[in-house]
Amino acid sequence: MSQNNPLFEPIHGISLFDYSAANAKLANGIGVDTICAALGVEIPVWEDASQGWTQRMQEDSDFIVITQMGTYFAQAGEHPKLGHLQPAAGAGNAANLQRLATDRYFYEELCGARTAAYEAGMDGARWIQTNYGISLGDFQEVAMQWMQQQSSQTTEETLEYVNYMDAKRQEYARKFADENGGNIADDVDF
Amino acid sequence: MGLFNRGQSKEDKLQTEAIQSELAALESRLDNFLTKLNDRVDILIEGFIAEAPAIMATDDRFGQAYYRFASGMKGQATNMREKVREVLETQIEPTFSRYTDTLPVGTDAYRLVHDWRHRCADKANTWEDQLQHRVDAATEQVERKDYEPIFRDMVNQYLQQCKSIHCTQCGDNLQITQVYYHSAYVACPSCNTQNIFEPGVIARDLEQNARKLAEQRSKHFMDAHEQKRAEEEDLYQQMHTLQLKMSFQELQSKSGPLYAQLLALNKQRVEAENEIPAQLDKYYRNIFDELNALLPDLKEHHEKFFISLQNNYKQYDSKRSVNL
Repeated sequence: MSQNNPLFEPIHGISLFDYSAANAKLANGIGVDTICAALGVEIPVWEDASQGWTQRMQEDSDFIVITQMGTYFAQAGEHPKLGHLQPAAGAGNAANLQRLATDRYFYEELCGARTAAYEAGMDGARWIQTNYGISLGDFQEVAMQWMQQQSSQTTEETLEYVNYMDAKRQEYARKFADENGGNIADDVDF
Repeated sequence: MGLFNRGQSKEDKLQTEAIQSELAALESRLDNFLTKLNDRVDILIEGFIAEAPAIMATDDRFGQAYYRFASGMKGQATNMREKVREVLETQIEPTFSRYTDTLPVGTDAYRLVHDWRHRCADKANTWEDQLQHRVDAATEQVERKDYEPIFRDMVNQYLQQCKSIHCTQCGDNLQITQVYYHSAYVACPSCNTQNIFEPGVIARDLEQNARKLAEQRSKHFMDAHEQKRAEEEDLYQQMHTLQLKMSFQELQSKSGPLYAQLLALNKQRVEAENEIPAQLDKYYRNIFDELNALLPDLKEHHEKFFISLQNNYKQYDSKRSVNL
């Protein structure tokens, strides 16, 4: 697929897989120095390549680069040079991460909770990190995996997950509101 | 069966009056409920507008604190919207179903219940539209910035900072005059040593702010585009109203003064419709012309970006199918 397309040519030797996996690791809190050392490049080279890949995505009206980036992002753990990198704080809660990747309802629940947290004025990504030990990068990596599976789902299955997520969003919204002294219109009744 | 008695019987009248009274009471409760919610919307929006500037002033460069604050405000608006939806689902719809399941179709009482449901739904929809409009307007008011001085100051600060960058080998000034948006190798003009120049946060944010400035300078084209869109929609509605006034004969024969008026309206509508994509094109082209002027070294990328963007928005060009 990408062999003959100039949009997939590596930039300064940094391939789209390198770039995507590096971004997954950066989102996980790994420093740019560590990424560059693992890729064997200096920061200016990485940053110029990084800007180049951003520009390629902007110039690609068919979205094939960004789509492929999503696939590679989900495969960051398999990258030969970057896959093993873990943030200094450790790998997080491995059991929860494993559950997130295998239990679709758990994933939808946390998506709903994250939205509810943002709607309550909180940092939703941090809430997941604090309560489940799953970093933003790991969460997004799993989200990409589920998104790829979405294309083979039936409409009924998609609707089931959407409804489940929204029910969880409302459940967590009530919980967060209770913790924060309620919503502004809680006492307005019909 | 009442075939010869098309007027309402006394019992029917009494029943209709009883229904009317119940529906009026519910509608009045809905009005009061929406009024009370509006008072809370006032408090929410006023608080948001008053507190946002202080949050923005001490925020990080990504605006995360403001993002959370604005999300919280929108979350409260969502909560109120859901309360209204819940009232429609638990109070209005069950009442409507209770009567329409038993009342004979075509009776005054049936029409009364139908009109009442339509009115209640309309009130809820109008309230939701107004809420959305107020949230959008408040957000726009809070986030509005004049990017002219912001961008000018950023460029000046960057150039000022570049004057004091020296070679790590010989100490000579690197004489940086171009914009580096990220870390870059810069050769010393005296000893040719490759220095790693870290341009800092200002340079990293230049491109994004240039984009905002270019959008700001091009806004009049977007306004014209939206105006043309509204104009086309209005002319289409005028045509629809006119068609409803026309007799079947006029419509069939495609003649008469009203038909001529219809054609004239359609001519205006087509002109407006053709202008919609043209104005959008002007808007995006102007953005990229401005960007080329602000950041000339990125001109090649800007042009490719413009073509990509244009390919995308042209996919959504569509014309109304009007059969006259």
